[in-house]
Amino acid sequence: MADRVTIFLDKEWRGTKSTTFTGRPQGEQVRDEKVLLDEKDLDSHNYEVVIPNDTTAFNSSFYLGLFFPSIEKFKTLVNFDNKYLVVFEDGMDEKVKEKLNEDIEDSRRQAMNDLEDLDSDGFWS
Amino acid sequence: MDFGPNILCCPAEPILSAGDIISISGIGIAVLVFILERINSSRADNQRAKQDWFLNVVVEPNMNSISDFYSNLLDVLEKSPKELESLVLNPLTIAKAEKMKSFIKNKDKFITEFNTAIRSFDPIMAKKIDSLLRRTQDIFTNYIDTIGSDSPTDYSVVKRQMDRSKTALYSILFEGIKKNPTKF
Repeated sequence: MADRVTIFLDKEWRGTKSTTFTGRPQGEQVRDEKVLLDEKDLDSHNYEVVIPNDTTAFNSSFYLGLFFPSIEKFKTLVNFDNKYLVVFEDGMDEKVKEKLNEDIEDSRRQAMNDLEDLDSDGFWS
Repeated sequence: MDFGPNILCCPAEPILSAGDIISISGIGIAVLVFILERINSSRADNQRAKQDWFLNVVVEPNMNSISDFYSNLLDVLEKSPKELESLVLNPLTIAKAEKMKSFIKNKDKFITEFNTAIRSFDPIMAKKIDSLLRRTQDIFTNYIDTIGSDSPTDYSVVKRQMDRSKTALYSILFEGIKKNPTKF
């Protein structure tokens, strides 16, 4: 597998004195103004996105703000994972990692639901 | 060859009188109105059946579970400051993360499945619920995050926010009926 280029999520992007990545607008802002994922979606590199130490939450609101436009472009999570891999900074506590992994799994479930909803008409229509 | 009186040569009597035409038109309109009413009534019956099913099978049996979901979250929020305030930095980070875990744990216990059921017949409503739960998770997470900081959020503030979230969830469940009855 080719080496991945690192995108480090700065602690400052969590908000003042915060240990959490929360909020869809905040995720969108980081996407658009800090890490420029729209451009990266189109280039030939693959990336690892590093969550910094001392983070206690990576909520689905932030995850979807940051990544959903890319997931939409790549159509499936498998394709998205080939491009972007979310990892943790070295030295992070295992219990915290476990919790953050749950956050990410929950976010990915919601991303899948949102992708499916785009193709669905619904029972009432 | 005698073909007898040529019926084409004489002025024909009208086959239908004006009265007949009016009478037949009246019957036609009555039949049309009857058919339209039947179609309308059948559609209304279907809509009513779906509405009843949604209320009786999806919403009402789960009202207690919705209430439990919020009660469990408030319980965690109320107890967290006392349990976390004495901890120093590293254990505090781990303990906060553990507390924050209870949101997804509680959500998965009930809401995730409940919303999957809703998604099967109204993806837009399910999407609204997902969005509300994401905002609620942010409220929950941010409250715990401020414990032990210079400016912790007061419990009364987060309680009010959680109550609003609960009200909003009920509103989403009923808004289809309230605002757009023909949708059902």
